[in-house]
Amino acid sequence: MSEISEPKTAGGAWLIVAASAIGALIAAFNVVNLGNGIAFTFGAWLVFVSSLLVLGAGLILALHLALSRGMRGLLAVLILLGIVGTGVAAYFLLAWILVVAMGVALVGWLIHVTVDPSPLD
Amino acid sequence: MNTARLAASTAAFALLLGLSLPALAQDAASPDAQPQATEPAGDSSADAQSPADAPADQAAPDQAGNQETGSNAAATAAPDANASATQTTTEPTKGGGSVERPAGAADATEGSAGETAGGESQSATTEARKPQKPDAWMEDTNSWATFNGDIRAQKYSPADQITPDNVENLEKVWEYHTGDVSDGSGDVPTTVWSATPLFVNDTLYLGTPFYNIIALEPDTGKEKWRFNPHAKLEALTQPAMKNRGVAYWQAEEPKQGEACQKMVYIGTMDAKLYGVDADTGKPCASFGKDGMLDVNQWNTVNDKWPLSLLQAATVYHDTLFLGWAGKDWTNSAAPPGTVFALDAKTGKLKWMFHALPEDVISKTGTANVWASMSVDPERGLLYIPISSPSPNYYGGDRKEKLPLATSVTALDTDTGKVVWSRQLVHHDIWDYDTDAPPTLVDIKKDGKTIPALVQTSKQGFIYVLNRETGEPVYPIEERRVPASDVPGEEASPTQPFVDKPAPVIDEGWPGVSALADAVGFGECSRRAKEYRWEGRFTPPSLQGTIAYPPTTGGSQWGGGAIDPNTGIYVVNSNSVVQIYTLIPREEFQQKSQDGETSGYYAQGDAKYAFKLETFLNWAGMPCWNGPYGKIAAYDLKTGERLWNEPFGQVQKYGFYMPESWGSVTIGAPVITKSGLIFIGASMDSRVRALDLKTGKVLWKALVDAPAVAMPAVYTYKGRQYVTFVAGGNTILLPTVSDQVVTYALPK
Repeated sequence: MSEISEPKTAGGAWLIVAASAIGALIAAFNVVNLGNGIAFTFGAWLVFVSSLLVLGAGLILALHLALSRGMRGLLAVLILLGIVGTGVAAYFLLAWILVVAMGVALVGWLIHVTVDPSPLD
Repeated sequence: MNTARLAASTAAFALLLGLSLPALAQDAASPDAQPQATEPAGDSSADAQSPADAPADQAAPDQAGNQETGSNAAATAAPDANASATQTTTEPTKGGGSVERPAGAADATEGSAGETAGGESQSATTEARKPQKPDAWMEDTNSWATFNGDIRAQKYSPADQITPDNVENLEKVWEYHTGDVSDGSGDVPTTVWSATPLFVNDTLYLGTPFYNIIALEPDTGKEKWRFNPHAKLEALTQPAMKNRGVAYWQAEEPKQGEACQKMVYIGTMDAKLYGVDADTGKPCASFGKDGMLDVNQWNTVNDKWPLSLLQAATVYHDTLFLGWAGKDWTNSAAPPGTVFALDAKTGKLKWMFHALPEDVISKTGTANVWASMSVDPERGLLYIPISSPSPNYYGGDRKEKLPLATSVTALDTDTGKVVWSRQLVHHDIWDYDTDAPPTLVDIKKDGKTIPALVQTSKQGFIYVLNRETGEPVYPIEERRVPASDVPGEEASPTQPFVDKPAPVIDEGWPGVSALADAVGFGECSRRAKEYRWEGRFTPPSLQGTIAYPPTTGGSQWGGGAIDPNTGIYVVNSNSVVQIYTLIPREEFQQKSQDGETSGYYAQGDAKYAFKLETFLNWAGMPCWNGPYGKIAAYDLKTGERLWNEPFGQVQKYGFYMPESWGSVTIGAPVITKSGLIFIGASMDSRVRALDLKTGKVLWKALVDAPAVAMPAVYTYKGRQYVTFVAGGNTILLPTVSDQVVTYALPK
């Protein structure tokens, strides 16, 4: 038996994955959609990359790929920072759908740390 | 969220301000962005050239009447419309100015109601004025026939199809790209396009920053014709290729089938004025030489640079009134301010008005008219906003009274003579050019109808004057202001102040931003204590002076808009803090040799050079509190301000700053009869419609770049259109464009 206590379910992590995947798609569209006021700006690229990072980190949690409890905890903290940071950046970019997507991802994160068997235990 | 947004916004906005604001002051009659460190060594004896017995005495208001100076009429040789030299005669006029006209044309004064020598009363002068009538084609309520909509610079459209209730339904009906755009990365300097289109003759006419004229179908945007003069695309007097549109003229009774009965004009950076047929775009052979008039032929005094024709001419009957732009920070002696009156059909000179006395032009210049003008078509008066004399920030070598400098002045359209003038800043050492067209409107006040003129200003005051006499409708009070502590300088002891209508900016500077100060570890507050600030009109100093408002304004060249039916006046403004520092010539030369040139301006051979910097911390954050731009409405019947709201948003790296911060603005509003304000002007590349009653934004749309000209509002075949030129201005944002976009309600 591994010394890592694996969560029995990962509903919250999968919600993070789904929301950030949608967010990344929206962010990618914002990057290339000329006429939206933010296309090809630094901010648009930033939220695209940060959405992808949240997506990747969420997948690691959802697929139980984290190697240690500490790593899972670190990932959870980084995901929170990514979600909040992306959401705030999207707010300044007036990218409202992305803000909503990050809001859903935040709900997933809360589920992950409160409802799902905690990776921090 | 607000706190986080505030902090994050500040950093982004700061960098933008740091990059952009020093340049904001350089619009129009201002220097190019290049450091002026290579000027020849200053002449330290320059001070001695100023007559010690002629100190400025600006305590009294400078109503220019009865101040004729200069010699008797003198004949000199001057060339005519690109042709052989002709004799001219020069006559003095009020305020130390003079009028020069071709010999034999002096009889133009006969029968006109111009100023008379000997101090005849203003009322008598007014009574003698023969009533005139406006050009009928310009009074068409469906048109947008001039840069400012009409000849009175009201920026008002009687169109009422688009209302506050349905404006949210506006849709883009067409978009056109001129192709005349440059971001400066190639051989052509960057473009600054502020050209309000004209709608007249069932055609939309555009001028471009490459000095093409384009005629479009007003409902489809389809090109009718294009005229390309193959102008020199060099930033000769400005930091960018600039254009503020075209002018239109037509004969009182156009002859069918005859060319050039209707004409469109465009000026160039290198002082060429082109006139083409409005229906075909072909040059009019009868105008100048084969359709081109070289205005620089009259640039005969202190010829340091060409008289750039960036602002469209003002047209009245068969006359074009033309000012010019240059750069007034680079030289002390510079081309002196002149307004040209030209025959609209031939380009022949009718008269030239000179704002500066002949005896001072060896050491100063400019006091020119680079913004647009207005005309009272019934009274036959031309109203001109005259800029400051050169050099901008040190007046120790030009202590003589120059009553017409930094003034609003009324000229007789027939003779060019001064009818009245009101100086708005005495002995201007702040670059407070009078920079916007005077708006003409009749105000119903206290049971009387007053023929009024509204003049906005860089200094933030709104002057409401009787346009027949120049007398204030609301009080203008001479108040004592700080003295200069710079050796050689003598600032005016008083300046005119206006409390009503309320200035567009507050009396004191906005104070240190706590956030910027914290990020700068106290840098902002520490520096603020070191600078000189004793209120408005604190003179430039050796230790640095807080300039508020600085040369950026206040209000910029767009001016305001008026609803003539209600007397509601709307104007946008900026709130910017800059630091004015005079640099002793030797120190300047040393800095030049050391390569420290950014922000420094030579001011010719004056005793002091000048450093202009926007008050930022090390991180580039503005050290002063926002908002940085507003829009306000006033009831001119009472002088009361109705509302005053932050306007626009700043965008940097794609991120938008809080709306409460507002945006530095360039451009102007347009009012419609239905109670809407249409305006671009902000840094966020949005065009907006506001509720005239409240200032609330009712509609906005994204365009390709900041729309830094006012829109044209017109009606064609029963449908109301609003056309914006989104050309951008690198002062606001690096983004430039060649977009023309038109909105209307769905059919």
